[in-house]
Amino acid sequence: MNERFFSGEEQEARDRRARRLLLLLGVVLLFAFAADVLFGSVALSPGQVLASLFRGGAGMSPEDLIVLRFRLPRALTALLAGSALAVAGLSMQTLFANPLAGPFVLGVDAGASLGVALVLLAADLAGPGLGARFAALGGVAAASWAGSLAVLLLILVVASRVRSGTVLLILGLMFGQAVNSLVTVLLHFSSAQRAHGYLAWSFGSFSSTSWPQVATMALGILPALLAGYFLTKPLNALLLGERYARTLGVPVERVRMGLIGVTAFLSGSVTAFCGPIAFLGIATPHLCRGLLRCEDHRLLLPACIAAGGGMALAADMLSHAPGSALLLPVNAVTSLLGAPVVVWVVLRRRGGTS
Amino acid sequence: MTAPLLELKELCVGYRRGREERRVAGPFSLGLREGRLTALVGRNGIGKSTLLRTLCRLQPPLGGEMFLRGRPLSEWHRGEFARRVSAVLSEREIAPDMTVFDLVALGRHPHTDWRGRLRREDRAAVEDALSVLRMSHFRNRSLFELSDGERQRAFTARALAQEPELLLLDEPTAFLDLLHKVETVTLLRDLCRTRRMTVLVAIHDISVAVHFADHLWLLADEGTLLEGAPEDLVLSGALGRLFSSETLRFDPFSGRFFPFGGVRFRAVLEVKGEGEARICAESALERCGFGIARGDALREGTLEVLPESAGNGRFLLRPQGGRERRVASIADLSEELDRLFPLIPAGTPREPAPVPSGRD
Repeated sequence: MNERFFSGEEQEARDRRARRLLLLLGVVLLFAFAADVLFGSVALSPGQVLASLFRGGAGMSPEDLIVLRFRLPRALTALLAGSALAVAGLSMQTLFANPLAGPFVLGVDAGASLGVALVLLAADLAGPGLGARFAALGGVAAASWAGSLAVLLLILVVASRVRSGTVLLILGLMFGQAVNSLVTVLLHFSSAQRAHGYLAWSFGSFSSTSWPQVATMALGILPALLAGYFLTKPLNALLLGERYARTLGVPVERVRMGLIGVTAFLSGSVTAFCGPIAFLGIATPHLCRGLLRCEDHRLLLPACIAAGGGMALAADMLSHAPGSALLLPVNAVTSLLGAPVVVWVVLRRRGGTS
Repeated sequence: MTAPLLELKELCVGYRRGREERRVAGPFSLGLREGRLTALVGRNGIGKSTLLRTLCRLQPPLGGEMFLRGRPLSEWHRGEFARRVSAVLSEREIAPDMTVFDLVALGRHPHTDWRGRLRREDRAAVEDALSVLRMSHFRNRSLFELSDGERQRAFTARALAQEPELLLLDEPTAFLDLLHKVETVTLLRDLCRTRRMTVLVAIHDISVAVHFADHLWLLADEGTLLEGAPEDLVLSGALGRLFSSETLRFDPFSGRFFPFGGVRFRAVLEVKGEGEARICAESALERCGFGIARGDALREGTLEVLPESAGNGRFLLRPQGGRERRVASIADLSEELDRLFPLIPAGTPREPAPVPSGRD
């Protein structure tokens, strides 16, 4: 007799559990952030770090400099990049109903790569001195941004004409492949030094950002994250496929444009300052779905922000191999660290079946 | 007086690619009966889904007009349209990880605010839809854990939670066994009665449609659409014609097919007895190619169906001028009949006679 009442409670219990997990993810994120600031190549005590954080101004010691000029912007960069990529991946996976889709599925990274490769090659032609100065002025970031933006515009033009999501996905993939081969050609004709510069960029890094760059990045990412939150309701409807979404009154074309725009902004901003960070964008949404055991984007999106940021911070910390001068490429660490975690979550969730 | 719910005028449905048009069905002009369950029937590939998708505004019509409450379909704002018309589409393998509750709650989409938060009345509508389709127990199950029938009910509940005036369903009973087919259709028909809803449902199984729908829309060859009460369409012969071929005649009431022309029975038997067992016995005889003697017709034997209390074999077979046999099951009966009235007349060689082969 009380079945209805009872199951209503069960429903709420599930929501409560998801909220608790969300809170937990937030706490983990804070810890990861603190840890990333506390640990680095140079061993500093927590007391030293705290003191440096609140000093600022004139008369900075080398320790203050390490904390304020390097570790803090680095940690913020990782946090922003991780959340941005996770949300971008989540949007693309739902939009294309494809678990393998990620932030770069429409070729945004290819556009960025082309921009970077062009700048490096141009620097070669212009002479080493000029090239170095250009790179120091954030020319790589600007080129990457320009490349991403070009791809974004192209995709939006195509998306407004193509009705089918699958076709759009294929076009994006093909476009990315074609641009990547252009990059290969460019690299083939550039000097070994420049090619190595490109390679280093493509490994990904959170540590090459200055404060103004962090601010620029935040300016690109935070509004896009907010816009993403406004799209969570149509994203939920899109879980049923485009046709069902239409019967629910979702303006599918407009939502698709919005999602592509948000994604391109997020992943473009990250790529500009950190290089193409692999894995996080594809893996984090799966991790969050597994942890929260739900498909509701109103919960998944904040979870992705927290988990993506946390994973990026952890990867950054590990790539700096605390206490040593060793520096590993971020891309290698994200995949090595994240793949087992995601495999575990995915297998546990479905019990390895179907 | 309110305008009719759904009116079609000279509607043509089909596909357009560039300048090429492929008309699937139409033109037809008719209105949907309000507060009734109308079954859309027709052969495979005749355009049932195309018509339903056009009515859901998922694809544009090739020509003609459609009116919902007197206003052209295309002029309705999408949110307002979604609050009046909901659909169960033919795609099924979607969102396997979603729970039943979340799926049904998505039906509230056109009614909720920008964040999609469920208010008290939204929750009530979801609970109501779940209980009407007897899915309340499954609310926390994921879709991939459900059987085909349960998943189908979950999607129907989702459409119901949308609280539409008009519910369009594309083959909601495909993959279901007969019991669940009938259950689904009668349930939808009851909804029409109790909630002033109107249902248009594409049904594959013609005998289910004939027995349980209030009204039929029959998509015939050449893309014409006939309408009427099921019995009207049977009387006019339209239903029988549609599903008959050169060799088989379709009987819409029984849903069975019979061979055309002079049927040669293996034998004609009289059946005696009462109840379900008698009906089953007659059905088995017909299936095996025997005729059933009525009145004074000549007969080559009698089959008596004994009451269950008789024990030790309920079917008593008395061939004309032969020994009486008593068997316990229909399977045994049909073997006995095969022995008495062989399919291959005695004397016919079982295999072609061996050809004498000389050495060369």
